[in-house]
Amino acid sequence: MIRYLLRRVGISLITVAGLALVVFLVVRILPGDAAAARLGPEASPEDIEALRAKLGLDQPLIVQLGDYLWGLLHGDLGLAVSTGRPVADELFARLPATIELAVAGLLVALVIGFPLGMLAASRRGRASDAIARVFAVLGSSMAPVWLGLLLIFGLYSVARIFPGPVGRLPIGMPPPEHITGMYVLDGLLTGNFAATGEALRYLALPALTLGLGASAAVLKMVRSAMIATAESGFVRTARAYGVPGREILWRDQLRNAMLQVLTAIGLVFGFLLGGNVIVERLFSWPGMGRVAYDALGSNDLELLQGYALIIGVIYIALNFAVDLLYGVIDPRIRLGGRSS
Amino acid sequence: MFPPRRRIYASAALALTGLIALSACSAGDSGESGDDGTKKPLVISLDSSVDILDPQAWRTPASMVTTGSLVEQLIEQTYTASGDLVQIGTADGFDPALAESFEYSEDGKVLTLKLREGLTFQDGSPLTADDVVWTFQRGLEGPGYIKVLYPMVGITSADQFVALDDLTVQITTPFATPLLPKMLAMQPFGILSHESGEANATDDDPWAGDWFRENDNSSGPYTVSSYDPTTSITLTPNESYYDQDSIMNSGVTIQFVSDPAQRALLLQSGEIDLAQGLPLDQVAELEDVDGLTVVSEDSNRLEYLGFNTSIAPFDDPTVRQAIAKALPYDTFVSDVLYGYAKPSTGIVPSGMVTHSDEAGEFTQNLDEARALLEEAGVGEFSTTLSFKQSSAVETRAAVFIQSALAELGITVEVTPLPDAEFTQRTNARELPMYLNNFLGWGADPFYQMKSLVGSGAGTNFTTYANEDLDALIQSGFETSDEAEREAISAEAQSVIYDEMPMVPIWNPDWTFVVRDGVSGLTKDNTEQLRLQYLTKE
Repeated sequence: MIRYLLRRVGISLITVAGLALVVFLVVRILPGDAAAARLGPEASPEDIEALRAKLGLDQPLIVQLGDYLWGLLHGDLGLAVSTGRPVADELFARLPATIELAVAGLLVALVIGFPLGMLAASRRGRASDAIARVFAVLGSSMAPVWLGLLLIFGLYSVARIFPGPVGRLPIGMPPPEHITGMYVLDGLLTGNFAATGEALRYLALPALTLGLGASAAVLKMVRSAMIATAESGFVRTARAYGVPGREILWRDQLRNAMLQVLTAIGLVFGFLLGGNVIVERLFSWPGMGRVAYDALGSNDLELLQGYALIIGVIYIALNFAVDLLYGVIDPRIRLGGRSS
Repeated sequence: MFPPRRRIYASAALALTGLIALSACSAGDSGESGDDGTKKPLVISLDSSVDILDPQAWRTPASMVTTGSLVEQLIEQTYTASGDLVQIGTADGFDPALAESFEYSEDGKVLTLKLREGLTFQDGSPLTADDVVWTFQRGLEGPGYIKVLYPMVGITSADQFVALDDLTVQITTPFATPLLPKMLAMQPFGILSHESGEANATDDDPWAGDWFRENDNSSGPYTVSSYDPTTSITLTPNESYYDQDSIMNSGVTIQFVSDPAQRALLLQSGEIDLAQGLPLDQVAELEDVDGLTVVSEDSNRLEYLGFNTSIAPFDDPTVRQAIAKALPYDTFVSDVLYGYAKPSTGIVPSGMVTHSDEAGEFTQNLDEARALLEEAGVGEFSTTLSFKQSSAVETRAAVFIQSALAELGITVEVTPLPDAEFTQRTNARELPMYLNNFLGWGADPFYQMKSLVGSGAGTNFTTYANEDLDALIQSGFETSDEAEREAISAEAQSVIYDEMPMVPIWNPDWTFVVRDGVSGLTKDNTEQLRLQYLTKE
């Protein structure tokens, strides 16, 4: 198990280093001068040159890379051009909002996608399977921005069931005391249940927007994994021995299908974390995606670079976690990699 | 062993019902609070968020509005009513603000301002002439944009600001200029605390840019009571402000709603009282909605079609004139801006002092355009038209321009660019033809012309350079006589019309949508909203 763990840690670290290199190079290739962007159109060439020197942009690329990596090791992602604040501060301050939304979106996706996938697999070829597949096609083909607009119009503007897209809490309501930065959780931890209730209300529509789309991916993966295991030898054998169908479904099929399902969940969660830029903008959700969107508009390459790196690291961490869970679910993996 | 399927569905349904019930119970609870009986708080949403709190170094229009409320200027514009809901700063009328009096020397080169007694900042520390001098010196040598304006009034050295005593400030300029009081009445010239600046300065940051970026020690009508750069900022009246009666509300929350369509929804539902930056087609629809009023006033903001005069065939003024003659100015206003704009009247718009009708008209005349193009002898050619892809208005206008120029045999490739790329490439003077807009602070014609077509100006993206025109504009800066300024301005406008380095195409209106009962919308000479005058019934 330790060897398995060390190997995964090593692979993850190499991937992070590669990611940092790619992000660094891509930002340098993109058109744009951080010094000119920070000083604005009225800046003199002398001022721009002075700032370039101060930021180290006049140094050879290899020196810049060294400085960048050294900064990363010390948690320094540079300064945001648009605000002058440290990039790490800008992004980590928004990370809890993004995680809270992504977790809620994932829960919606699982609550809808998992049972529907199970249902579709257990009733393959019947009407309920067809309905689930239609839902999957609709879910995967509908753009989050469109779905979000529909939900805002229907559930806020017309039905007045959910609140408007003004962020995480009602206008003027102070957030709960900061513990994790996730308002639902912080409200519970500090006994501020009013804040938790409001945070849940304001979370509902963006989470539904994200989760409904993602539920289609979960549904398809659960369905196909369950069907694949249903056709395997051990299931046929269990049936031949007269084991009840429900027991086969939950104990044998589901556990064996979980490897694929877990991979799908990891991917979906990664997508929800990094792919919610538009949803955050639509709902004025103060997460990292919205910061990245604004950074695009203000040519803030430092901020974009930090965003890409943090999202990439989160993806890698998720993959690492999924790898570890593989080992828990399937002992053959941690005992020598006979299965993959 | 396993939960029956029905129980799973029942649990899910129960959870969903609970969430909906929770929502329904709480809906509408976010009503206003803090009503002090006469003045009420307002919630507004502008076209951008507030990025930083430094009044001299903000980067978004909403930041300019906000930071301008955290500082007070020495003098204030005189405002006159325009209808029931709006008041507008006059071109050359000024009232005392922090300075109770101000007077020029006989030659107009020395302005002496006398501060009110007993002025304090938000923290109770005294506001003196030393703070004024430090603020203006910071503007000249520190972070921020206002240093761009100083040369236009002949200020190039910090020595030109002197504190004669605790209450008296003297500003010396090499020539008498009417732009100086306009400048002093702009919110970015509001007074900062020297004490706060000094206490938070470092060797690398002698002007305390880092501290002012996130903190305030207000001399203005408001202080910051809460601020999250991605959610909202709430301003409450500054108890140390010298003129409490001029604050017409009990506070303002600026809610950052990035999507304009959502802003409109929130306005309709009553969650916000005022919205800016809504899509104009939506504004037109809101005209008929009960409970809402569309406020639309003339503006000096200028939308223009710029040429890179260093790139053929735009290096030929005749080609540029031909294009100017081909554009459908009235169609832009009616079909692109839904009537919320005025057709172009020139680089100095008709609402700006010294505007001249003599320079030339901006009307479509395709025959004349064809004749000019023939005279230029360039034949048919292809080019690109670039603009910010985030601008719905420019996206629509580009199609009309493409169609109009096709009539002349000019093939235009419409090229929307990501905003950052557009800014980068206009700064690099790479784009042959582009749509852009500009607002000259202070509504000063010479500032307007210098910024747009003055040689080497940071916002002159045309690369056009004309020493004679530069000299003419400079003489306008240095002249106080109104008749002389009008004559100089008219001559400069004629030169620019003949040379046509850019085509002014429309002036978009200053447009807001408010809920009924909201009034006091005040437009100053930087065309920003002055928050302290907003009221709500």
